[in-house]
Amino acid sequence: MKMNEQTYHLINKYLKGELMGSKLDKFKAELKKNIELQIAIKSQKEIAEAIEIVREKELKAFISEQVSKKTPIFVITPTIKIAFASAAAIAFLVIAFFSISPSNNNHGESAVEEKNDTEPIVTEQKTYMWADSTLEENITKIDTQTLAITVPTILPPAPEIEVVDDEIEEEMTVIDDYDLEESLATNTLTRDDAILYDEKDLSNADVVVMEDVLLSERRYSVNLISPNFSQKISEDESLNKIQVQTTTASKPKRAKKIKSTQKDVEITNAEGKEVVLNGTTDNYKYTTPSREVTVEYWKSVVNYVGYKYNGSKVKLYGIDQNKSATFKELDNRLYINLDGTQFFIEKNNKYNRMVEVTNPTLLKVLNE
Amino acid sequence: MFGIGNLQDQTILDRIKDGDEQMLVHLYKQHYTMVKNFVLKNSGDETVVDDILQDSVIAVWKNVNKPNFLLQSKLSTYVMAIAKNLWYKELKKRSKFKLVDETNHLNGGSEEMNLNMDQSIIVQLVQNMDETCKRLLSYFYFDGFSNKVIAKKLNFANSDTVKSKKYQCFKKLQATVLGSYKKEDLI
Repeated sequence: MKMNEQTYHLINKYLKGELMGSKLDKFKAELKKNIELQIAIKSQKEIAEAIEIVREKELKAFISEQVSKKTPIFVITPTIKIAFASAAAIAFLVIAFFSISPSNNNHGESAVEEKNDTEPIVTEQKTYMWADSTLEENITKIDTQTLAITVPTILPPAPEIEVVDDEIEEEMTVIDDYDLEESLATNTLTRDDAILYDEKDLSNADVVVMEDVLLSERRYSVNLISPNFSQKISEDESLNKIQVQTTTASKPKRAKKIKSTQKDVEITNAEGKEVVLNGTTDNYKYTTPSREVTVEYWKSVVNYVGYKYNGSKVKLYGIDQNKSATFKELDNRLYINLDGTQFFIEKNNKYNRMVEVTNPTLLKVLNE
Repeated sequence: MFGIGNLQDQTILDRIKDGDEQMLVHLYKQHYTMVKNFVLKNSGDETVVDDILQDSVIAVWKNVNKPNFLLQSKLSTYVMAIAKNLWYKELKKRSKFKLVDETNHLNGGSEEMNLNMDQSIIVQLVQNMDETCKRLLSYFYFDGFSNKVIAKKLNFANSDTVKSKKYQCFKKLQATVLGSYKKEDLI
């Protein structure tokens, strides 16, 4: 019997006990006289046993490993969060540093990336140096409100909607759900994290910051609406019996309505006396525009929609400049009509979301 | 095992036949408490439970892959039967060992020790084989997988490829082993 592949498979069958009948007899007869076959069987058996030992060890190791393996529980502790935030900030800085072409900074001009055809107006120019003094960056700043997200920057506190007691404000709704605070949180550092330096020379600015872009600036006349009636409040009567004497003919039916309507809006006139609007506009007259307001249309890099009003200038963020806009002022409060929707403009020099006027009485007055 | 839950006996057998090694872990975990209770009640301690159970599930693994295997009871009963036999065998070995122990001290080394040394050389040679050959021969000699299953597991074209590759791998290993032995040692 020759030692070839066929013999190998035959020996395997013999060792596994799969050889039967006449084939087995023939094989045994050959085994008795063939020493080479005896050696082959012996070595094949030894090798098979060694293979089995190795495999058994392997399987046991596998079982032990799997049994002892516990499901990893990854708890995100505040420390890990801080570490992740720091790592993300560093990564951001590195990416920003290498992605900006040096040629942008050789002209001694602002390194602001322009996204629109109109030129951005630089209102502030500051350089930030991080507290650890390992990294200095010159940052061109256009607007303090919504700096670009390419580098961590110092931002003013996120805008808040003030809660006022006046019923008018209570009935107003927030039309923009964009959460500025949340959107900025991941990309900003607090003021404590950096030391602020004044820097006028931006020729060596290393970092280009995408910032808000001023789209256009317009001037609008403001229609002043002022109550035009002589009122007489009978002090001996309860509040529910207040009657308003208007300059026009008095209407008994309306007086009745005043008594029962809870939703009517109370406003305070210039003299500080309370007047109840009865749902009509008879009590108001429009005066000729007495002043103008400057309106700037801004495009926010974070798509912020809102406004900022300091008393003379209204900055509108994310508002289409093609929309028709009219301004009215009632009781020292400014209202903007954008394509038929009235919004309340609050003078507080903060960043505010657009708040729609929903009070029906007030709307009637404004839409008159 | 996490994510497997309670599997039907037949599913477990099918997956063992397909070479799913996770079934070993599944059987281990399913029977750990039962085997542990049995061993502790029968003069054993917790340290041997792991060995007994590992040997038991591996024995099940090997038996299931034999061509004539037929499960005639619940799988858990079968596993427990193997575990019990292994433990009784171990107890027997321990009592024998005590008797023989003193004789061994007098005789010193034995033929068995020489044989183990030889086998350890072959084991070393097997471990040094290339991974595919090692797995192929392991699947055939230990697991008893059919050529079809081996082809599937090792991404071979078909059973014939497995057959010829198996011979090549074995021949290579045999040549290495024979190189370490004299022919006379093997007779």
